[in-house]
Amino acid sequence: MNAQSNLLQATDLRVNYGAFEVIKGVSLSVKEGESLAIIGPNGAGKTTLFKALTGEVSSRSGKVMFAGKDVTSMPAHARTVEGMGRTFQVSRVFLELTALENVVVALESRRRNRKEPTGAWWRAAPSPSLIAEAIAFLDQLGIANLRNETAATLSHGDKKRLELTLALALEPKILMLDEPTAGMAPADRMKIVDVIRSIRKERGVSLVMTEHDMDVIFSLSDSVMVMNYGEVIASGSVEEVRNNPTVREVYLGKDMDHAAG
Amino acid sequence: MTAASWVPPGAQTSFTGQYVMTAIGAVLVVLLFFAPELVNPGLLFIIGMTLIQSVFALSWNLLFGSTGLASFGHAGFYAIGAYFTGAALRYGFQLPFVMTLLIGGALGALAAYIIGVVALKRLTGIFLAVLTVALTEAMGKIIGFTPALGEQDGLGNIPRPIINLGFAMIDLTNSNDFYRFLLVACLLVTAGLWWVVHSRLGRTFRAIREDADRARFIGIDVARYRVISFMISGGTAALAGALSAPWTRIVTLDQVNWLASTQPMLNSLLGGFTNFWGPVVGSVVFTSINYWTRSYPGLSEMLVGGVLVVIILVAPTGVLGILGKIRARLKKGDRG
Repeated sequence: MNAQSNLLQATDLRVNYGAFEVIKGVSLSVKEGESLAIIGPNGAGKTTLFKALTGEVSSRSGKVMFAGKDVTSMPAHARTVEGMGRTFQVSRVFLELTALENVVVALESRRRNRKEPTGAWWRAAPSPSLIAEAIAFLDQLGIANLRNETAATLSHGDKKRLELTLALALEPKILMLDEPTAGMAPADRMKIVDVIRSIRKERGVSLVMTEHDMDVIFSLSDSVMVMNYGEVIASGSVEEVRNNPTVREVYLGKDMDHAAG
Repeated sequence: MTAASWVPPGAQTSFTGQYVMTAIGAVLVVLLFFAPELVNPGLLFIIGMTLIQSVFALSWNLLFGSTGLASFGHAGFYAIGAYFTGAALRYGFQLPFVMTLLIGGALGALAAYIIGVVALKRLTGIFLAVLTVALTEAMGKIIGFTPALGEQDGLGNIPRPIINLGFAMIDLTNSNDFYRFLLVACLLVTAGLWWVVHSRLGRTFRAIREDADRARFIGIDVARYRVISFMISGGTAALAGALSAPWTRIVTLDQVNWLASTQPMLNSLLGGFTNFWGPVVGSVVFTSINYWTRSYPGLSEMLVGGVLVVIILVAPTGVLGILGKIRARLKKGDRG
């Protein structure tokens, strides 16, 4: 595949919860280095689409290609090994582990999966190089000072940061962020946006996210896909989507800048 | 940024505290080693059983405390080891004794693997509980109808082994000698489990216990590591059983029922499942209560039951949890 080929491509994806079809034939593609935001009203199927892309739920039909491989029937952990790094809408970290242990577990998993050196097998404690790498990742998100805190005691924003650290520690090809700034204070949001931006610049990692905050979407995404009732109703650049009449109809009476809620 | 900044789980005590604990542990091991000279044979037998029960409880808690899975039929694994070793010694299998023990453990791990593969997708909650209970009940029935395994009467007259090292013979037929062998073996198995819990394998287990979905999304094959932890746990339980056969010199169906399965759970909860040493403390506490109340039939059950109720209500983290809390409060008192 060439440099501009699709990193992530879904074709006619369909997901059912029981008899109810939640995702009704969605197709999308994300090129290498590109950034896509998925928006839509609550219940539009954004998170379900996310789950189908990352392997958390299986799709009834359709196909997901990632990094040149058909991952449709691959379980979640295998897709992660292929290079998907994901965060959840409500941040999920290993609550009873310290922040440092959280990242160490992620790094050990990555090194094991990539057959990178993990230190002498008989050594119980993680190797100094691994700890240094973990602290560097925590530092990038500005939470290195919290490394010995138990994750359960972290604030909401710091948990979100820690979860993003976990995803980044895997050195993914694509970041799949389900509402990366949900429930955060405005100042915190922009800090997260800056971090994600600098990581994308540094590592050229692609991004797929769902998000409600239009400022975040403007700052981070190249293109937007709008969903409603499990279908794509519009997609294109941020400007195109803003001026799309169907989108305006879905959000009728709402101020577009805050419309995605 | 070096390894010095690594704070291992459950070890957030001061360095002096660690030294004190290590010193106490060393004294205990020395005392245990000279126990045959210090106590009467009856008590020595009980101490030996406590060692075996400690390893058995540790094996259960590796599954529960580390990986977050509960086996309700762990006696099945114990019985696999006990009956295999018992039969091997009784019928004089041409196997070195250490090899017999290892095969006993391996058979336990194999049984765990088979259950794990059958239940690979559902190795959690009620499914695992039911399958492990089924294993134990099935084993009880099979043994009950197998004449070579003593049917309802148990497999008795198990001789103690003589280990042939080629250049020397270690005669373990004397109970004091076998006791020392048992002590060394239990210490080695415990050290092995300690390593598992504190290694990257143990960290992977704990990640799965904390949040299996999150673990999948950092690339951990959750089903695979659950089976691995189940195999280590089942194998260690079988090893505990294997060590017990030549110590008790009889293996009976009493060791293959649900009541026997509750013993390691009871000990782990009593001592504290969140601490690696909890199951050991629990086994000691349980045995002590039994020993001190031995002349009043029924009292030990009431005491153990009462202590357990108190622990579940007041301190779900067990005896070690209570001690930790008291210590933290004392420290606070010092500062304030």
